[in-house]
Amino acid sequence: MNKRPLIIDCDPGIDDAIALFTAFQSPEFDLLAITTVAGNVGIEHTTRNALQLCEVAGVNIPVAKGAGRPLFRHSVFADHVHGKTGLRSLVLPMPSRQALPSAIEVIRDAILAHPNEIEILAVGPLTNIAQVFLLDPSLPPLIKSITIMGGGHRHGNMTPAGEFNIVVDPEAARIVFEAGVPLYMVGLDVTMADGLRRGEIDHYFSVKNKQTETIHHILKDMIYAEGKYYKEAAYIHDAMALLFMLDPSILQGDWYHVDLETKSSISYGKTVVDYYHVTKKPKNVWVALGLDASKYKAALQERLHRYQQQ
Amino acid sequence: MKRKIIFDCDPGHDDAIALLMAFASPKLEILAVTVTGGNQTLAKTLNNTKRVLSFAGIECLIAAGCDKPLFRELEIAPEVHGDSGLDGPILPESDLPVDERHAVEVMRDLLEHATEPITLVATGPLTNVGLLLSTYPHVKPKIDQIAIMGGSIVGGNWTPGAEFNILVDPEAAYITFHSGIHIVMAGLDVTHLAMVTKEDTERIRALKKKVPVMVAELLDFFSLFHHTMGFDATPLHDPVTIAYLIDPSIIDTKDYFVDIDVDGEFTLGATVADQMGATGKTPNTTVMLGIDRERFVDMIVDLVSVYE
Repeated sequence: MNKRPLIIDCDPGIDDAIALFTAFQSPEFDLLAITTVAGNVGIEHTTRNALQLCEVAGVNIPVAKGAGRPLFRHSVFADHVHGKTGLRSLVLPMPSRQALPSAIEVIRDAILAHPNEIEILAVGPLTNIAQVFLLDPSLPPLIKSITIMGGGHRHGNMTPAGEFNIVVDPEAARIVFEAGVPLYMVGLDVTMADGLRRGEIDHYFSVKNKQTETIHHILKDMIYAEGKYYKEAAYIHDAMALLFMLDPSILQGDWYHVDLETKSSISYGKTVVDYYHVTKKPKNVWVALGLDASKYKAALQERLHRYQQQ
Repeated sequence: MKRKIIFDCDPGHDDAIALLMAFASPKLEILAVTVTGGNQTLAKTLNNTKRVLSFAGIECLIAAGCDKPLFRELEIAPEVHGDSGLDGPILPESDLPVDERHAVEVMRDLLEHATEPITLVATGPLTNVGLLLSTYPHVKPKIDQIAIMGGSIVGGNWTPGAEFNILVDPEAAYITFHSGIHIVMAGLDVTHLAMVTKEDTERIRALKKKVPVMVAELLDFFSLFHHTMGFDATPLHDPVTIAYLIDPSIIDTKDYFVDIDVDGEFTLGATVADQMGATGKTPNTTVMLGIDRERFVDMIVDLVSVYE
C-alpha cells in the first residue's frame, strides 16, 4: 500500500514531542518534513527541539523553520506549561543538523509534489499554513485534508472560550478554517476527555534505552508538574490528533459549520460550532466530540512500545 | 416563608406556563409582573400577560417596561411564538389594569420599600433588569439573586454562539452579569433537557379543567417550532427557572464565572463560562446543567392542576 504523504507542522512542546515520537513509528505515513512555528515557546526553541527529537529517535526527516510570530498579534507563549526551552526539564544534546530556512517553501513544495494526496497535521498555531494559503490561493484545493489539534466546542483553556493554538493566532486559524480544505478538528472536547494517569505512566516501558527513557522523562514531566499546573492526568493533545489520523475510530464526531471568532474582546479564538445547525451554512469542519479512551491509550502505547524493540 | 419575586417576562408560551406555575406555588409570592419586548413586541407581550393572568383568575401588579433593547433594535421570534406571541389557545381580551409607571420604576419602588430580600426572575431579554441595575444601583442590596432563563454554556439556538434572550440585548445582560448580584442561570444546557413530550401534554389536557387545557394548547403550538428544529419533544425553557426556585433538588448546577460577549462577530450574546478556571475570577453564576425530567413534569402537572 502506498504511504500517505504527510507534513507535520508543530511547536514542540512536550505533547508535540510525544506526537513526533509516535509519528516516527508510523510507517503508514511518508513523513516528508516537520515544519516549526512559534507557539508553546519561541521559534528558535521549537525548531531546535524538533531537530533534537529527530536525533534522539534516529530519524533524518527534514525540519524547516517557520513563522516566528502570529500574523497580526503579539507573540504569546505557554512556557508556564512547556518550560523555558519547550521540553520542560528534558535536556538533549545540541543538534548536529541545521533546519531548512523556510517552512513555507517546504509546505508548498510538498503540496505541489503530492497534489490531492498530501495531508497536513498541524498541532500548533496555524500561522505557517495561513501564510502558505495567503501566498498562493491555488494550493488549498490540492490538499487532501488538514487535521489540527486546536479549538474546542464546549470550552477553552487559554481563555474561557479559546484554546491556546487558536487564541495565539486567530486570524491565521480563520484563514485555514475558511480555505475549503476538509478540516478535522481534534480539540479540547476530546484531548482533555482523558489522559495518562500516574499509575499508567510510572511503569510505561519495560525496556530502557535512549528513546524510551526520553519519552518516559517527558511523560513524567507532564504529570508531576508542581503547583498551579498540577494535573490529574497527562493530556497528550497533539499525539491524539496523530493517532486519530491512523485510526479514526478512537474519536467520535461529526461535520458542522464552524466559524472562527476574531473580533470579540473575550471570545476571540473561539471555534464557534453550529451545534444546532441554526446557520444552515456549509459544514466545513469535522469536530471531534467523543473519545474512546481505552482505544486511544492502547494505540498510543502500541506505537511508543515499538521503541522497545530498537 | 414565601420567597418574594418580581417576575420580568415576555410571554411567550413558556413564559406563560412559568407565570402560571409561579402563581400556583405556595413557596413563591409574586409582587409584580413586569413585561419587556422580546418574543414579540412589548404591546403584544403585555397583552399576552394580561390575557393569561385574567384567564387564570390572577390579579397582580402589572407594569410595562422597555419596548426595545438598551442599544439595539428589537429582534422578535414569531417563528417560535406566532404572530401574537402566544398563538394556539383562544384567550379573551383582558381588562386587567396596568400600572402607569415604567416597569423599572415599579421595580425600584418595590425594592426600596422591601423589608426582606427579593428575587428577580427574568425569562426574557434582560433589558428591564439591566436598566434597573444601571439606573438605580442603590437597590442592589435588596436583591438576593437574579434567576434567569437565558444563555448557554455550550452552543446557541439563535446563532451558533448565542441563545435568544441574551442575544436580543447583550448589553443589558452584561450589566446584569457584572452587577455583583448572584445569577442563577437556566440556559439551553438545562432547558434542552427539560423536555415535555406529547404524552406529558396529554396528561395535562386530561385534567379537563380550563387552565390546564389552555396550557396543553400552548404546548401543542410550542412543539411545532421545536419539531422543525429536530426535537422529538419540546424544551420548556422558562419554567425551569421557576422549577429551580420551587425545588432546587431536581436540578444539577455548577458555579462559574460567566461573562457576556458584547462585541463578537460570531459570539455576540454568548454567555462565556470559565469552566477551566482560566480567568481566576470568582464565580458570579450558578449554572443549571441537569434536571430530573420526570419530577419537572410532575411539578408542572401539580401546579397547573391548582387552577380551574
